[in-house]
Amino acid sequence: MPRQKENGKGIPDELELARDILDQQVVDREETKMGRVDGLVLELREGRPPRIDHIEMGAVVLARRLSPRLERWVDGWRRRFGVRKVARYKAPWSDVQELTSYHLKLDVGALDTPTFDWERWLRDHVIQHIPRPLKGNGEEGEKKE
Amino acid sequence: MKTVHFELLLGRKVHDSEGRRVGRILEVHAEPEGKDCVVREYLLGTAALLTRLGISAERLLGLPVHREPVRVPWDQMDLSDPERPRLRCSVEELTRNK
Repeated sequence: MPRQKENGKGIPDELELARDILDQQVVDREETKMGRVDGLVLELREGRPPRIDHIEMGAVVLARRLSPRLERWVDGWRRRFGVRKVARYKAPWSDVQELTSYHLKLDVGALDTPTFDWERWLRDHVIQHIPRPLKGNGEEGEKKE
Repeated sequence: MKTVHFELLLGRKVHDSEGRRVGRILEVHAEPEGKDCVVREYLLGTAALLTRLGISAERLLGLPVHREPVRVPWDQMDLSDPERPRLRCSVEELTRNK
């Protein structure tokens, strides 16, 4: 990874998009893993160089890289069985706080994004219904809220 | 707003203004500019995937490889049809302007 520039953000002053950003691990401001950069969208501007508009994450984006048919299949599966409200999570480039050789940090909270929809669903529909271990006197180990 | 998906550009064949094949998009070089990150140049090679993996016939035979990617400034690349990227000039003009 090239040297870091004094640009107020921890972003190197030279980037190779495929090498440095695509498939990079994404973390939130607390460094919670959110997934990987599956897509990168460039905005084409008249008379000015293209700029990175946003990064995309999601199985549909990853599937599109392999084939449009697979993208449609994955999106159909998501609509039928998925719990995510959106097919792809888009993070604007302005949310990128830091880019290193091992992660891309976003200035967001992972729990507030659709990337954690599955975790929230599992918590509400599965984990919550798992019986808690009993104490010796037959009471539940923790108080119910 | 016209946008292109970078991941779908990778490996696309690029032709010059005279219709001759120049190579495939291997990489895109970008730099931060204020709050943005802007594209400076596109790197084209002959065997995109194999080159990215560091594989080539020369390497397999143990011969030294000196193949440099073709560097295309952002303003010489026409992405109006992202499935068929084209140079706005010929390969000769591109190498002459270096």
